[in-house]
Amino acid sequence: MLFLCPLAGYTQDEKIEKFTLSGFLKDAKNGEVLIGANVYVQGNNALGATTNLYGFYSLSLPKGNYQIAFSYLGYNTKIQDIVLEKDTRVNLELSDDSKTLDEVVIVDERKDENVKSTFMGKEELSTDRIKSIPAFMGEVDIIKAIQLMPGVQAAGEGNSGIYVRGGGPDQNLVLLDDAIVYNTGHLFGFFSVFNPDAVKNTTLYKGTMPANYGGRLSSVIDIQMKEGNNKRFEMEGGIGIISSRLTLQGPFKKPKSEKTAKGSFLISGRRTYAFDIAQPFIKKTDFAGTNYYFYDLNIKANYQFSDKDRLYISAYFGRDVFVYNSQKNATKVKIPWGNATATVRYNHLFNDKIFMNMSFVFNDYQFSFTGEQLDFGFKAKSGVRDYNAKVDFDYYINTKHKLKFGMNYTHHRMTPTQASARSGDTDFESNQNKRYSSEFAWYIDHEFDVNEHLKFDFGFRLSMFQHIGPYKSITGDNIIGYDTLTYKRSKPIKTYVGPEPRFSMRYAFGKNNSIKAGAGLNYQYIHLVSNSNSTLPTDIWVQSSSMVKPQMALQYSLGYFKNFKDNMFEASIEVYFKHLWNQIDYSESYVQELNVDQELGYVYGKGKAYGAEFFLKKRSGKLNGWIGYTLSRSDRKFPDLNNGKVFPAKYDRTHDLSINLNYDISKEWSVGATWVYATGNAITLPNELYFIEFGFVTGYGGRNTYRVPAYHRMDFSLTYTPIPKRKPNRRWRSSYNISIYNVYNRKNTYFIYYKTEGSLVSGNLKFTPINVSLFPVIPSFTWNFKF
Amino acid sequence: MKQKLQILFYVLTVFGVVNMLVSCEKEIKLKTSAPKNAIIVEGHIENGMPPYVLLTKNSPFFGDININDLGAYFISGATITVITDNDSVQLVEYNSAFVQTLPDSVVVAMAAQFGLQIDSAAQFPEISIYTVGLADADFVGQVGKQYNLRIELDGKIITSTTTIPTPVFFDSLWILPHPNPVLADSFYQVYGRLNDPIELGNYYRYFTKADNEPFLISSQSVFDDAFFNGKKFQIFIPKGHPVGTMGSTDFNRAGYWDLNDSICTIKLSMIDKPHYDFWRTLEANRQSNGNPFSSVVYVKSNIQGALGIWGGYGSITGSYVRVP
Repeated sequence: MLFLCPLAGYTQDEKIEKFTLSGFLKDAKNGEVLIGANVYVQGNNALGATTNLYGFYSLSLPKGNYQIAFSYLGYNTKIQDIVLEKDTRVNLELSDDSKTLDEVVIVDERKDENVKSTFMGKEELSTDRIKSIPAFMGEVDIIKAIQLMPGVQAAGEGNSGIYVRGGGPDQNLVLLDDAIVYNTGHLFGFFSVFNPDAVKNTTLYKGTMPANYGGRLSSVIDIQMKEGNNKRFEMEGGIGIISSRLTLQGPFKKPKSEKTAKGSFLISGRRTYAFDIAQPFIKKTDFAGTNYYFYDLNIKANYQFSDKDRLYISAYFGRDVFVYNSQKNATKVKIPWGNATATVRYNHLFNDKIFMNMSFVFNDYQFSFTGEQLDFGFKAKSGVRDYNAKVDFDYYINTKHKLKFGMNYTHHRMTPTQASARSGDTDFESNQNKRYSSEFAWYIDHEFDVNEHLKFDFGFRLSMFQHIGPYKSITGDNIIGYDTLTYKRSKPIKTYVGPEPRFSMRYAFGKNNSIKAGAGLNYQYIHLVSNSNSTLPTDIWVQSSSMVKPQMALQYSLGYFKNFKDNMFEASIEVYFKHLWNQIDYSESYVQELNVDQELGYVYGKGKAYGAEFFLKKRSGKLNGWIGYTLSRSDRKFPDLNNGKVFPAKYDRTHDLSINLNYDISKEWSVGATWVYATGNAITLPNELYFIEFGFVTGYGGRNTYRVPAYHRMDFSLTYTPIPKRKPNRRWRSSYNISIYNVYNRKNTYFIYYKTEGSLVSGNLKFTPINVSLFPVIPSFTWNFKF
Repeated sequence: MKQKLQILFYVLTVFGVVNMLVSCEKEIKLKTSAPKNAIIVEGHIENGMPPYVLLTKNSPFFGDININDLGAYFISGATITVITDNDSVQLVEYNSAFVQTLPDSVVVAMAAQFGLQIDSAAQFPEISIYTVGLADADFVGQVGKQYNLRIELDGKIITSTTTIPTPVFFDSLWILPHPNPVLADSFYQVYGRLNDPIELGNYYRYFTKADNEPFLISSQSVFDDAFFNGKKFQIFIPKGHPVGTMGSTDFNRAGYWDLNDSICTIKLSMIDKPHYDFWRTLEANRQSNGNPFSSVVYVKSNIQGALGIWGGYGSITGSYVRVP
């Protein structure tokens, strides 16, 4: 019980009479809660607190008079004189517009969060900042912005998949308002499913995760949807070359004067239309009815019942739909796939020190395929469905100690490919059963501010996973015979328990310097083994079972953080080392087959990933942006792959550099540029051939030993936001954005194949290696509006 | 079988559409490490037929070599024995010189065992085929038996085992016009009705023969009964393509029979699991070439000490005679 030991040290502090200052911080413009805002005693940064995901803070101080600063990145800091002689509630609104402030003093914000927090490898990205990054085909993409962070690698050209610190794409926990999003990509991953207009805040953890997160090895991407403006009705949208967006938000009932309403809502939608526009042309061809589109719908509502109780309801629904028709071949195919999530959250303040959040979450990912040709029909579907309940408590004991604890339960239902076919008058059905499981977690996390130099975070998470019935297990083969075991509903079949200690610390010294260290053990019970470079709609999540053991990772990291030029610049160097166990891959001879359990094709091994990350960020000024560089390595060793020898993981990138700069030319014009450089992907190439039935067969050299040429690309954007000259206060505002992807038309390798011509028997067999690149220079234009 | 083909087709279509819009191809030079020398065994035994074996060498994929020098791949001088529970036979090597001493009909049939179409012994290519000597012509495969293969070559021993499972055949065969009316004047399709045995774990390979051609295979020549165990169902039987070619990539042509083909002969063979795994992985190996959505597939061999296959076939042959 290491994480509770330091609590013993605070008893003597308790003898002094203390009171608690607590409340919620909100945005003055729209009433949205501010996440990660700082509240601290002027002149003593060590006495401070940060708002949680719901904008709540709590700060216990000895009785007395204080000047308290309330600050948030990019907003004006408010200073208030507080006489603390009883527990006091202060709910405040911060503004990013100096004109609306009258009674408060404007001072510099507290900008040293980078140096002062204990967690390493944590990045917060506001959607406004993400919108200033040049966008691929004009589609602002949260996940692609995360790719520009050190330690995070893009999965491929134009792709929104990510690899974090040498881990696979299934090792990232992607949460949208607490709901897991299993497939984050539209159109084979070229666009992510998160509509930026509906997203408020994105937090990435790539180092030691706080104990309230778990279930994945590499990272957490926690995305919070906007709550909805609770001051006035607002409309926002945009028209681009790929999609159009529209967001409506506002209070349920218009509040009187400057007050905020008790409740508000947000509805946000996005849809592509390129193929819709082409329909009149497609209609005249053999392919009439063929179409492709995707859409997203985000809905959120919240209501404040009292100062202590608030309810949030949010939902997401998105689909990709591909329809293929060919009259000549009498063929019809329809392939829809996508995610649906729903979250109900209830916040309750027991008192000034104990905050509770209770969530009920439903999420569902489905892929289905329907094909028909004459009297032949084929259907297939697969997916994941979860029901999740959790409760989290924040207990602000005093300025030195803060506890977080809670529990989490998830019921998973995994549907492997279930196929059925009709051929003439015969029907076939696959008998792959759905799999069910229960995942539990209990956690406690203790933040301990020893003094202004030293701060610890001790966390412990206990996870448990159970494969449960109904389930029919079939073993054996047609020689020894088959044995069937049937398990009833909810009957445990296999149980795994994972103790997950987490530890972080910070030592601050000198002027804005700190050293941080962290270590953490993580378990992952559900897996996605994919042959492709990123996630595909057909990917099938597989749960742990008697055969498939949970994946495990132990990560150590150490970092040096420094801010300089009055916190205008943030710099950091982080090194990490990760051990990975029970990593899963397909066997070398794996061929996907309908109706055959995927897990029979798995092989297991271990891995190592280590690297150094360098980050320099300019936070303010007309020119702002960052440079991130990562030097890293990620290896795997599987007894059944590559003759048991170590090989580079698919996610191995020696060098990875991202530069993102933004320059505000004037209040109306701004330019942005991004340059990325990365070592080429490790791939397996053929090195031998032989003949069977006079046709050639390919043999391969070492696994992932060939490197494709280095990847680099520059993007550029120009944004014009005119300020109406006659009516500067007009609510209708437009903004025009031109983005250019791959400015210097670099032909990056997407994949390599060999073109085959002729045959051995005719004596003219020929192979030609071909490099395929995907996106040339692509300009795009987007018009955004707000009312 | 057809389902898989269709899924593959649609996935490739989607990928193709994306690709056509934006992709750019460029020829490049590749340098890869030289492979280790390997021996490849390609042998089979069928009910009522003697064993046949080819022995070949591997070659670097890219490099300054003539990959079309057929004769250079073949290995001669091996001692090959096929052993069953109560009998064994040593195979004889037939090369282009030796076969000139044999009647044309024997040589044509021997070449046809590997899908090669020749009219006379003089056309026999620069290859070596190991099979029984004339004196052992009665050594033929029998249903239900196990056959062990033993090869001695330069002091190296290569072994393998296979079985000949009990064969089954289609209840009926019939034809239908090409589904695309425009092409119905040139092509037709063949269907069969199969009654899969009740027990799970049947593995099939099929061959097709139009008139007097040799038996040929399609790019997906094997299937199992995991999806339709014990059922009676109709199945599309694509026409095979000439040996050594990948078959047509035209969706309107591949697998359809030509209107000039009047006798459609189908050979349906039952094979054991290791034999099935070999063809299944080999066909996936041929299709996975550079596809960014799939990874490389290593061929699963059932040979100890070499690559390749030693496979038993329990076969039944039947024909549909088309009346024009």
